[in-house]
Amino acid sequence: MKKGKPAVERKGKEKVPSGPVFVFPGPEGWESWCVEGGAAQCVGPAETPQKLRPPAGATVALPSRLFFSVPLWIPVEEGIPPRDLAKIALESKNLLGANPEAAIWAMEPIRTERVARPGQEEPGTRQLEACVVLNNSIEEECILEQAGRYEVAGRVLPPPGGGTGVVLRKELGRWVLDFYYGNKWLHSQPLLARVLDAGAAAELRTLLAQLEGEGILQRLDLLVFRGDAAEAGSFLSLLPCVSQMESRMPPCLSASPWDLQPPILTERRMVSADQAKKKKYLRAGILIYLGVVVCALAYFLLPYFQLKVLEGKLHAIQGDAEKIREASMAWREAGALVNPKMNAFELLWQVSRPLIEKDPGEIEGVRLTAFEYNAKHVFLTGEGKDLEQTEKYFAWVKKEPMLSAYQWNHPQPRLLPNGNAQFQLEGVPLGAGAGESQEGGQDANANAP
Amino acid sequence: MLFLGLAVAAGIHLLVLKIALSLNQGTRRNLVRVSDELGEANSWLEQKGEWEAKAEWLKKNLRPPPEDNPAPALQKKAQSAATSAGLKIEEQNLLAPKIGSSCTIYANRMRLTGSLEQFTKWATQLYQPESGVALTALNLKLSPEPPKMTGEAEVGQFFLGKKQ
Repeated sequence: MKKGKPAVERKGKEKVPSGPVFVFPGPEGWESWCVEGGAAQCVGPAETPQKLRPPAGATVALPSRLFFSVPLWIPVEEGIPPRDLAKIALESKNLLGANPEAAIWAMEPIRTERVARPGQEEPGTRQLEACVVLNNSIEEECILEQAGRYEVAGRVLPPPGGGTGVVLRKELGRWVLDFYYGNKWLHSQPLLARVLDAGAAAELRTLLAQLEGEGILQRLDLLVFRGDAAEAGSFLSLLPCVSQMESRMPPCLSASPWDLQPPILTERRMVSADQAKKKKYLRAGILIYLGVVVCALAYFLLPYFQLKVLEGKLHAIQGDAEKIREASMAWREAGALVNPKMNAFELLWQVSRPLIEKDPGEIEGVRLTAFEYNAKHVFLTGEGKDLEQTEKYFAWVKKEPMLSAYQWNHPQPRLLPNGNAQFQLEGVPLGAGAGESQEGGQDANANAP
Repeated sequence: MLFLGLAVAAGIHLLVLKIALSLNQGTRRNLVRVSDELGEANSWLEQKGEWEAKAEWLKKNLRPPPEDNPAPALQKKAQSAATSAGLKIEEQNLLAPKIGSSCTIYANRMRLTGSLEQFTKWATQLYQPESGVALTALNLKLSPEPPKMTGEAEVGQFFLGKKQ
């Protein structure tokens, strides 16, 4: 018998494991295993897998109490898949529960052997399958939504060597036997005995005899004890087989790993996916709402800021502009004195000029009968020999540059009984309307009759 | 309960929207007004040189109002010019001084008869920018005996106003 030191490096919880991570049921509690820089790193033990805070995609190694390990002999029938035959066998043992279709189970072929078939001369073939059915009432604490795979604990441990071997290890405070055949995991069986003593040795012998009797276990080559040497004591010497002690091995995935996802996990993931979808829609809705609010704020605040900017600009120039406007008002007040275009006789001359001069001469037969001038307007009354000449006169007055200080308006000329057209023409100083309203009637020249 | 909450939220949003639209309408109205005022102020600033020169001219050439009433002298001047031009003075009276924002005007209203030539001669004699004398109103009509004309005129003398 050899004694080895466990290759376990315990670290504090503050270290975050990297690489492929296993959540493993260790002797005292749950452990998190990973390989970092070629060396196995272990975090734990912890009471529950959640406390280890494993990263997403970690492999959870299921302890033996959470599944039924059932090594099965099934006949090899041509045209019938072994899984269907295994399912029938499991159903006959009532291991798949009320709804076999929903049961989670996995199997792996171990070896085949020829057997005599009753009533037939030709021997048949049977195949040994390592079979596991997940316990329906899986503990809540073992459900890890971020886990990537659920495996059997014995399958992620290295086998003891070729041939038939058994590993005795402690799992969450209980002793467990893992059976291997040809480097393949075959079966896991927890012991009833809590302490490794003569009782435990008797239980082990019974178990071995039972498995041998069923043909599952052939000649046992080696029993490996992976645990604390102090706990082994003289137990190994009581066993009827070759035994040795080994240090604990870090878990690793087998060539054909299983994934025994608990159904509740699938449901939770679906619920989580549904909630994530709802959250996504909710987030999109909130974003759209915020976008609309921002657009609305921009729509409402933009004119406000524009107003403030324009008010600032206006305030900066308002004083100067007001002085200039007052200067223009003063000039208009004194228009009769200083502005030729608003001088009474200059205006009388300008409105009479086309009627008494030969140039332009095309206006004939038009005469003025009254001329009224004051600060508010120039009002002409006259007669034309016909409408055409009257209109020509109107057009002339409106185009004349010296009369451009006024805006000219006229009602429709009235036809007199003698065929003449009597007209009125009113010129209002440009900007007088706005000026009067701004001045509030303070026009110094408001001396209309 | 959910529908009640949604209805309340929708109601609050509509109320806020209504208030915001109302405020926005007022702001946009003010924006147009201020924009117009700014445009007008800018246009005044563009004409700054021209109007400042004119204001300077008025300040330089218009006299401040004399302490004694200048109206009688103005009336005498207008009367003398009318007689000289051959116009017949039908009626005349002094008007109260008109105090404007930039000018103070003393005026004499006259009713006259004569020919257009006589009116022209009178106005030519009367128009004296350096003394601030000009016709501030003129109403000419053909009299019942053409080419005679009836005229009603106001002869005004301009002085600097209070602001000047």
